[in-house]
Amino acid sequence: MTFKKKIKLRVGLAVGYAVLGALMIVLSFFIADEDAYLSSFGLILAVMGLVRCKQYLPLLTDQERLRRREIAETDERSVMIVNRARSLTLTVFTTLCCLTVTALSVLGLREIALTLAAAVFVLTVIYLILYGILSKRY
Amino acid sequence: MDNRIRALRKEAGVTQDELAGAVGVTRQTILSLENGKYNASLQLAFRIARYFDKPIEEVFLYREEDI
Repeated sequence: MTFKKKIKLRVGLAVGYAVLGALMIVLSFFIADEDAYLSSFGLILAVMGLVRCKQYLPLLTDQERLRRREIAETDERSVMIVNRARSLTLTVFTTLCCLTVTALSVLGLREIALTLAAAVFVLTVIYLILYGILSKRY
Repeated sequence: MDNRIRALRKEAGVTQDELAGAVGVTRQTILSLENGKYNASLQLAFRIARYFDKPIEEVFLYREEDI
C-alpha cells in the first residue's frame, strides 16, 4: 500500500470517528436516564475524528508535506526508538503489575489481585505466541 | 561505528536537511549519525554512500572493537 493510500484510509477512519461520535451525541438526547457517558464519549470521538481530519487532509493535496510526513513516519531511527520504548514499557508495566498483585494479595484484596494477575498472564502468553510466530517468519 | 558523514557533507556543501531529504530520513537521524549516537542500517549506509558517490568503507569506518 502506498503512503498516500494509507493517509486516505486514515482520513476515512477519522471521518468515521467523527460521524460515530456525532451519532452518539444525538442518541444520548433520546435515551432516558443517560448518565452522560454516551454524550461524553461521543464528544471525545467526534473531536478526535475532526482533529485527525485536519491533520491528514492537507497531506493529500501537498506532495512535499506528504513526502516529509512519510519520511518522519518511516525514518529508521524513529521506528527504532518507538520499538524500544514499547519494549521497555512492557517490561516496566509487567513488573509494576507483579508488584501490585503481591501488594494487593498481602492487603487481602484477592479478587482484584487475581484479575490483575490473569491480565499479566494473558499478556505474557500473547507475547510468547507472537515471539514464536515472528521467529519462524524471520 | 565511526563515519565521515559530516566531513563529506561539508565538502559537498550540503546541509543536514538536504542530505536527510535525499536519503529519506529525518534531519535528527543525520545529526545522530554524525554524532555517533546512532548506527545506520545497511540500507541507509548504502544510500548515504551512493549519495556521496563513495564506497561504503570510505563513509563508514568499521573497527574490530565494534563487534
